[in-house]
Order: sequence, then structure tokens, then C-alpha cells
Amino acid sequence: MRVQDQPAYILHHRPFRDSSQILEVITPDYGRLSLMSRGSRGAKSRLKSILQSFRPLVVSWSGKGEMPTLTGAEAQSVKMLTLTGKALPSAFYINELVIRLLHKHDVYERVYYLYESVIRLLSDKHEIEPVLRLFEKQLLEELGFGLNLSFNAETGEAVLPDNEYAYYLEHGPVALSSVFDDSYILKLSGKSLLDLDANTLDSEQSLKDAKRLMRVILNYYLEGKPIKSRELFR
Amino acid sequence: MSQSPLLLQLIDALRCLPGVGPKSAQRMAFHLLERDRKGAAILSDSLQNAVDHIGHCSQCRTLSETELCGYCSDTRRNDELLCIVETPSDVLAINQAADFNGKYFVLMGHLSPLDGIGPAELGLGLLEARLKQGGIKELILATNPTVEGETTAHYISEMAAEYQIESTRLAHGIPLGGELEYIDGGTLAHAFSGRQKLL
Repeated sequence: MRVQDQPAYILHHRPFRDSSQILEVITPDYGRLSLMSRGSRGAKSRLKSILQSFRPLVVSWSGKGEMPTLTGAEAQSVKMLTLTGKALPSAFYINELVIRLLHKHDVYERVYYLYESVIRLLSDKHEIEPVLRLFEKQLLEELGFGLNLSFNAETGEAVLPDNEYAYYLEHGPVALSSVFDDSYILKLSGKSLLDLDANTLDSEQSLKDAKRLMRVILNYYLEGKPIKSRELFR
Repeated sequence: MSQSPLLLQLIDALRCLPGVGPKSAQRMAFHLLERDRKGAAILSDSLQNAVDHIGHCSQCRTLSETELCGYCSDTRRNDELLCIVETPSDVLAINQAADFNGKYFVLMGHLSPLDGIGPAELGLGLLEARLKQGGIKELILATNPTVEGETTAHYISEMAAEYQIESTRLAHGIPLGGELEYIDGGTLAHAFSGRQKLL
């Protein structure tokens, strides 16, 4: 199979033999896949500066089986996205989430565009925390694990900003006054839930609650294995 | 199978070297046995010695057979400058090329969370203890200009800031004798934004 000029981002790369590397890429039409890039780590390789994570690329590959061979790669534009400072560890965090939650060869076109947009937001020096929270929420949504943030899981009524809620994994919020058992993961205000739902994490409290909530939920979908990239945040 | 098993074992062992495939391993083995037995003995001795005795410097983590490496124990070197590099070969490169009289700290890699390499694996605790001790005025972050290298440099610069130590990063530039037309866009963009005043 030969694929020409597919947009892609490199999520991870690891060395192979002396001068080659194995690239983990995300593409719109082929999902996440591994590509063998021959000779690209050599001293004279022209591709070295192009094959970097977080750079919008156009790649071509050919070959059958688990790991096709990269036959060409170019930067999408001459102008480079520049991730600097605090955006860097966040971008690695995003890559780790995508690699661990998106299975190989599962094609979710929208995950690619979601990834692209979050990398752009990070390089535009947006406030980082809200960008990460919304990415986490949307990623789960696209993968079919969408969160219920706006309806009381017990009664089906709309969540009210001034009420307190207990959040149950896979179900959603239940009014704190009528919780049936203590298997909920945390307590938070209706306002925080609605802010996360509406992508408006402006207040400090909502941001903090969203972080707590997403952390427990992601931990659940990642089967308890910790996220290594978190160590990069000081 | 008429090949000598010891010969096969040698050929196989030589293949652990970078850039050595089955054919070159075979050539090397025959060369050592047919033409240069003395050289082979010296090679085997030095290999054995090196593997037995070379460990890591307790201060900068570079390869060293003594507790403190030559750079760290050299009292003529300036203790106030500390250059952070990824590998021992980077120390050599900087030492040969740059006029640098400070000390080094070798990370033995870069931050790469997906490979399981975080701050602890790079000995950054050791570096932090050293920053805490005081006496260092400038950290020169000479990690590679890759995203992983940049991330590592950023992490260390945040650490240095906590101890009010200034950190600097190697400049990106156009290679000497290069032509703008053929330089990749990223390097050129960096070089352009990091332009310097003349006079």
C-alpha cells in the first residue's frame, strides 16, 4: 500500500539500529500508526530537523504490514510552530494521553484535528490549564467516553450551578443531598460542572475542580498506570 | 557446520558495535586473527579494563574511573559556571571547540516521558543538590536543539530559577560557511529571531 502526502504529527520516536528510527504518528485518515524511517538519524540526514514532534508534517509511506516505511516527509509550512517554555511539558503530556488512549489503527479523524488545534493553542501561548482540561474532555468524548456533566444522573434534571454534587464514574453527578452510597469519586459544585461542560473554565475554582475531576477520570481510563509526563511539571 | 564456534562467537560479539553488520564483523574478526593478533590482545585487555573500572563521576555523572572525573577535580576550572550536556561525547565536543573553563554536568540523556525517562532518571536530584549548595552563578544549558532537549533545558532552567541562578541556552545559528538558501526553515527562523547587534 502506498500513501501519499498525508498530514501527520509525530507523537513519539525511538531509535532503531544505527541511523533509523521508528515514528509513532497520528494522521486524519489512518489514525495512529508506526512508520519506519530509514536513515533519518544519520549525520547527513536532511530529515532530522523536520522529523520533530509537534511540527505539522505531510508524510508519505509505503509497505504492507505492521510497520510501513516512510518514503517522504515535509513540513506543512516553512514557518515553524514554536512551542516554548511551559507549553513543552504540556505538549508531551498531550502526546502521552493520545498514545495511551488512542489505539493503533483506530481511525478517529476528529481526534487528529483536535490534536492539531490543541498544539496550535499551546504554541499561541494561551493560558495552558484550561486548554489541557478541554482537550482531556474532548478527547474522551471523541473516543466514545463522553462525560455527563450537565444532568443529574439519578433524576435526569439539569445540573444547577448553586447545588453541590457528588460525581460517579461512568454515570455523572448526583445531588449531594441524595447520594446513595460513597462510591463517588469526588464532590464539586454545579457551577464547576457546568463551566467544564460549556468550555468556560474562567474561574479559579472551576479550573481547580475540573483538574481534580479529569485526573480521577483519566486515571480510570488509563487503568491506574501513572502519567510519566506529569513529572515534567515543576 | 565447519566454522569454528569461537570464531562465530567473536563475529557475533563484534556486531554489538554501532555501524557493524554481519559482513563487517566478519572482516574485523578475520583481520584481528590473521593479521593483528597483538592488536587483538590489546583490544581485549583495554575492553576488559574499561568495563571493569569505568563508572560515573559522583559529581557530574560523566564516565570516569575515579570517584571524581578529571574535570570535576581540576581546581583551575571555574566552579561558578556549569555546563549541562546530554552525553559524555558532548563534553568532549565542547571542550575541544569552545573556550569554556567551567565545569560540566552530564545528564546521560534527555527528558522523554514516553520512554519512561523523567527528572529522576537524569539525575536531576543530584543537580538540584548542587544548585542548592550554592556557588554556581550561571548554568549553560547545552542540551540538543530537539524538542526533548528544549524541554529538558526548560525544566532545568525552572529549577535554577528557584535558586536564583541565571541560566543561558546555546544560540541557534547558521553553520559557518553555510548558505542561507539551503538552510532549513526552522534554523533560519531561529537565527533570524536571535540576530545580534553589530558594533
